[in-house]
Formats: sequence, C-alpha cells, structure tokens
Amino acid sequence: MGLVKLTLKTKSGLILPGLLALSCMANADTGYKSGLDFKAMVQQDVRDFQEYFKKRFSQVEFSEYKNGVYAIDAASREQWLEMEDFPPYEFAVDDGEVLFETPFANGKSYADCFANGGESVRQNYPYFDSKKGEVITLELAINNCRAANGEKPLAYKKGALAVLSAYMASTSAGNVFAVSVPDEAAYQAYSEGKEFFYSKRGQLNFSCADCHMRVAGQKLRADITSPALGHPTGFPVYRAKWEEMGTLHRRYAGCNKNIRAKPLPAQGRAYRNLEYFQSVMSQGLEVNGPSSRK
Amino acid sequence: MARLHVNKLSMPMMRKVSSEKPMNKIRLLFFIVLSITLFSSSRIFAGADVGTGVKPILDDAQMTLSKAAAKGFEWTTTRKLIADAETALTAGDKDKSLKLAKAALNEAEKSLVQANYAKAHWQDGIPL
Repeated sequence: MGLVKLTLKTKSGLILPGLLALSCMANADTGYKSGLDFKAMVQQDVRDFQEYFKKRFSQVEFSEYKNGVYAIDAASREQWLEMEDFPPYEFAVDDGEVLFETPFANGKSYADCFANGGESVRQNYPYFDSKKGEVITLELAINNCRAANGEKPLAYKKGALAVLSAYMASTSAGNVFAVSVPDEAAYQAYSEGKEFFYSKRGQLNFSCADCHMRVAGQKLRADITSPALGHPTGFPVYRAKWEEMGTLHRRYAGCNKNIRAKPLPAQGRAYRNLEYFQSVMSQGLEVNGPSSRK
Repeated sequence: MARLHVNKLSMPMMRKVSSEKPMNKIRLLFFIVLSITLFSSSRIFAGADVGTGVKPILDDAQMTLSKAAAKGFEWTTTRKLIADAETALTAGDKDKSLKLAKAALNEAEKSLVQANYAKAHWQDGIPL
C-alpha cells in the first residue's frame, strides 16, 4: 500500500509505469511477465492458427486434420484409403511391441520408465520438463529410458526407435492431444519453436508456414503440400518414398533439405521446440499414429 | 559570346598550373603505382595472383558460413562450394578455384543476412 501511495504521489507521467511494475511484481510467480499472460497468448495463437485452416478449407472437418494432406485432397485420399486396407506400418507396430516388451540387461523394461506402463501416453508428448528446462519428446524419453537403464541410445530418425515410437503411438490411438505450455520457461521453448516455424531459411528462402499454411493444398512440383494443422498427430509414419518407418524429425530434416537448408540435428533443441509448437497448435486432434504417407 | 564568361581572375592561376605540368606527371605516376599496389593486395584483384588470393576468400567464406550455421541457417550448397574450390586449388585450376570461392563467399554472406533478417522479422511471416 505504501508503494502504491508513493507511486500516486509522483507526477502523473510516472503513475502508469509504477502501476505496471507493481502488476508484474504481484504476478511474478504465476506465469506472468511484463503484464503478459502466457497461457492466454498461447490459447490465442491456437485459436488463430486453427481458425486460419477453418477459413482456408471450410469444407474440412476439424477432426480430419489428423490425416495430413489426405484431409484436403480427395484424389490423394482415395489412394491412401486403399493403401490403408493393408497398412504398411503394421509390421512396425508388431516389431515395436516385441522391442518394448524385451527387458533391458538389468531386468527392467520401457514400461518402468513411463506413466501407465507406457501405454496410452502419446498424446502427452512432447511436454516441457521444468526441472531440466527443455522439451521432452517421446523419442527422447525412450532414449532417456535406455540411458537410465544402462543401454546405448538408438538412432533418432528411423529403425528401432521409430518402431518403438510406432507401437507406443498405436496404444494411444484416439486419445486427444493435450500438450500445454505451463510456465514462462515453457513459453520460451514454445516461442523458439514458433519463430522457427515462421522463419524463412535455405537457399529457396521458404519457411514452414510458406509451404504448409500459405500454399497448403497446392502443388509444389508434383506434391500437394499438407496443412500444418495436425502435422505431429500421425507420426511416426511409413513413407512410400522411404520404404520404411521414420520419425517426425526425419521428416523435418527432409523438409529442410527440400528448401536447401542444412538439416539440424534430430532431437536437437531446435527441432524439439518446433515439434512442441506444432503439437500445441494441434491440440484437440486425435492421435492416429502410426500412419502412412506418400 | 562564350569568351564573355571566362573568369579573368583565374587566368593567372591557369598559367601557373600550366607551368607545373612536369610535376603533375610525377603525381599521376605516383597515384598509378599506388593504386596498382593497393588493388593487387585486394581479394577482388586476386586474379593477379590467384593462388594466394583464393585462400583469404575461402577463409572468409568459412568464417561467415560458421556464423550462419551457428544460427541454424546454413544452406546445403555452401560447404560443397568451399570443398570444390579447395579441390580445384589443389589441382592447380586457379581460375575455377577463385570462381567457386567467390560463389561460396556470396552464399555464406546471403545465408547470414537471411539469419539476421529472420531474427528481426520472423513475425512478418505469420499469415494470420
């Protein structure tokens, strides 16, 4: 109160800054900074982002965005549905289950590292670990689990890690993505991912948003670009071009190569923050990984 | 009519300049020698001694590329240009090496400009 009185006694030009400073001090431990409400800002971003696609593809149901480009292109969807009659990722799910249930050398297993024994948890990844101060993706959590149990880490883009991730995603099918931004540090990571998403890079000077927002649904050479909304929901995927399973970060690297930008390390800070941003934008959509793509 | 506009006050000075003609030639010669000396050490005129001129350009390209890479904005093509320039230099193809080195430096500089521009203006790319 004394401080308030002191502020009000000063010249009128100082009253507003004084009150603003008081407001910040009062909210210092509640996720506010400089009068900004992080959670409200993120929710506004989500609304704007999802609204953009609702306007752009008004005939497409929101829930369909989990299917990537097949939500917006009828011809591609027809081919995809035929492919789904015999899902090419089915073997990967079986392989992943075997790996998941194989005990480590110390007798423990993946189930010991995850909530709910590792089943039905995909929708909670990535999340921001406030103690570590970084974003934890499902693939990173799998390798962290291995490290904690004395096992060597797996390669991040394909192979065993991709099939393990595929199995864990399959146990979460239908669950709704629930990735949140709980505090200021998380907001920083989210903002870095957002900045990456909208920054033009590479010799072709394209951003993620250029291809997957502005020209989503249009052809870039022979391919129709997918909408950014729902990008993480179907991963890991069996991609016809790869002829095998691959993780989301493998796809990020491929996108970067396409625009002649040198890919950044899979599960490095930049790609994890990008995945975090994209997952927050996709909140409300169902997990439908693993899936197949062209 | 034109003679009416002659500044008669400057006439003595012009005569004086005219009398210093030999001195002007010396000055001109001095400036030519100085220019050649300066430009021959510049990487732009590295063609005068291509072998030694390529190295500074390659070093500059590498340093600039490292700065762009640290910001996450390296292009896929630049490192190959540097490698190709080094290969050409080793093979003794100095002209090709110089051309590639200059292209590498150009790319590295553009990728760094892109990184700095993106940092300041990424929000302009939000299509909302």
